Amino acid sequence: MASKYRLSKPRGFKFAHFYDRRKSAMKKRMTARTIRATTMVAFLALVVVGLMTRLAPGTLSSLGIRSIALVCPLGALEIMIASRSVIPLAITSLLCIILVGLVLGKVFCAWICPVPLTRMLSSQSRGPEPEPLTIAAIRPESPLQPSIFHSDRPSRIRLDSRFLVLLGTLATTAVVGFPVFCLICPIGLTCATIIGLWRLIGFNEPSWLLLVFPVVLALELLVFRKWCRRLCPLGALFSLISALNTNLRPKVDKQKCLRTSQGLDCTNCKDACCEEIDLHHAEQSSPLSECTKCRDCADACPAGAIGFRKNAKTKLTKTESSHTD
Amino acid sequence: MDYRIGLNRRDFVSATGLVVGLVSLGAVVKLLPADVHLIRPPGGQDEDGFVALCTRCDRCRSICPTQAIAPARLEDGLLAVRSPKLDFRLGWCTFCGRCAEVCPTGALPSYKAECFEFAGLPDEVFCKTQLKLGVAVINRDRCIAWAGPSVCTICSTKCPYQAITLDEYGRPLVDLDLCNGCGVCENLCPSSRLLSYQGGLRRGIEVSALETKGL
Ligand code: SF4
Ligand code: SF4
Ligand code: SF4
Ligand code: SF4
Repeated sequence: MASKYRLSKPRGFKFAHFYDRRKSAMKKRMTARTIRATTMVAFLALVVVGLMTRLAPGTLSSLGIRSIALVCPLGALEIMIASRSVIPLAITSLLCIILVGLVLGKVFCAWICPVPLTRMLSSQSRGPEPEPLTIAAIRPESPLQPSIFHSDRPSRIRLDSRFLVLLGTLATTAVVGFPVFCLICPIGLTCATIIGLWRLIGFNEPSWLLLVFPVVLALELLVFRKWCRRLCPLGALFSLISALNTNLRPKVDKQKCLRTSQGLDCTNCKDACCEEIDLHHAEQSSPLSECTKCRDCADACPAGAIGFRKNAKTKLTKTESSHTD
Repeated sequence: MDYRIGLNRRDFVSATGLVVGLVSLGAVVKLLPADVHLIRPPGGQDEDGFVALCTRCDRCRSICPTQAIAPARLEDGLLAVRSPKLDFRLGWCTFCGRCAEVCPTGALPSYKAECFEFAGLPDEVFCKTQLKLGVAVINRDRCIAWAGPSVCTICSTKCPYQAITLDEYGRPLVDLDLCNGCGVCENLCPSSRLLSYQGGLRRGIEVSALETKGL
């Protein structure tokens, strides 16, 4: 039975997607990734809609129709601090975003933000697929440690380096009196570069920003590496909000999982997760509040054991769920 | 709330580096003298307040029916880059208030306006407000009427606010009280097309920003 699974060795980098696995899982993986890339591009395309029409949908800094708009939560905080005033639309935006975060968690990070798009593109160009691993290769010499799953309860918040950047951003904004992070925000720079290109072509309006912004973007995303995990203050805000989110969390079906059902040393789900979540070792994992609902783990699982529905038939037993993340 | 510190040295170093970068960027932007005076869309005239509030979302630029709003370039200063500025070569401002309506942050607060039709530009509806974007300044070396001997009355007949009168020799003069910097005159001034290239692309009449409280 085991021979119907083929696993491949994950690469050293996090976004290794070229796992060889069940045909159907393969198809599913294609869909999740493709849908994500599509929604990300769709949100960027709004910028182009704003350039081609006078509908003013805005950019990811603020999206809206007419006088109804959502402001980026970090931007909303920054402008209220910079102007030392309470801005009604900024407050309602924050409330809406908190609400969305409670229901959908950090969904923005995997489905809307254009930053992972650049990562997808660069991971695509990293050469041929790795050698497939055989089942024999993941048969452990000694029995595996029993899995410790994450609990169903709200997660513990992990205060990491992103919160340092968040604090630094807000403090600097208070001192200099303008939303300073917006100047280097990779999302803003991406939108600005699109607008800059449009102005160059349509209005013959060249600007140094067309050179400078892409360079800064590349610096942030490629040189700093792991922007999302280490540095993004927006992600830090979303993590705070999603600490209370318990919907759409990845859950392992122990009957299907190769680890729990067959004792094989499969780590595909952990290796696929760019948030460093290990579904099987809650104690060493990022908290589940960091889950961006990207579905990469589910798609990487050769056994199709990971589901996101609340009552997926993966109820944990008392002992296994005793550990909270 | 339940929390845990998850900070290793490498992450700490990267994050500190980024914050130091942010602080220096903020300091440089604040300390560098901004010598470019941008003309902001109506309502954005208090430069300090404006840059504190604008999130550079591009909504005002998109909605402007005359396309007078352009995104500021890097050349306009680090503080201004991506924010909206008026470019009267592209359009003029009718004070229609649409940009203020879509501005989500109040960087462009809404204002009272009384709108009227103007026979000189029958396709447009202009509005009277308390606002002043800037004032028109005549570049006498570039103005066709001032440079002579030709006659030109385009700006004086097209100004929706009747701010331009002609002197006894038929040369335009700007009434600083009536002019609100709408930019019609600059937009329509033909001098950069008709006069020789000497003097560059400057036009005979151009709107310049008022002294702002900003840097
Ligand atoms: S746990 Fe799964 S869905 Fe959540 S971020 Fe990691 S890979 Fe994506
Ligand atoms: S859930 Fe799937 S990917 Fe994760 S260890 Fe089990 S079989 Fe492997
Ligand atoms: S008031 Fe109307 S015409 Fe003037 S800049 Fe705003 S949108 Fe454009
Ligand atoms: S709509 Fe307001 S916040 Fe957005 S770019 Fe224009 S002035 Fe700035």
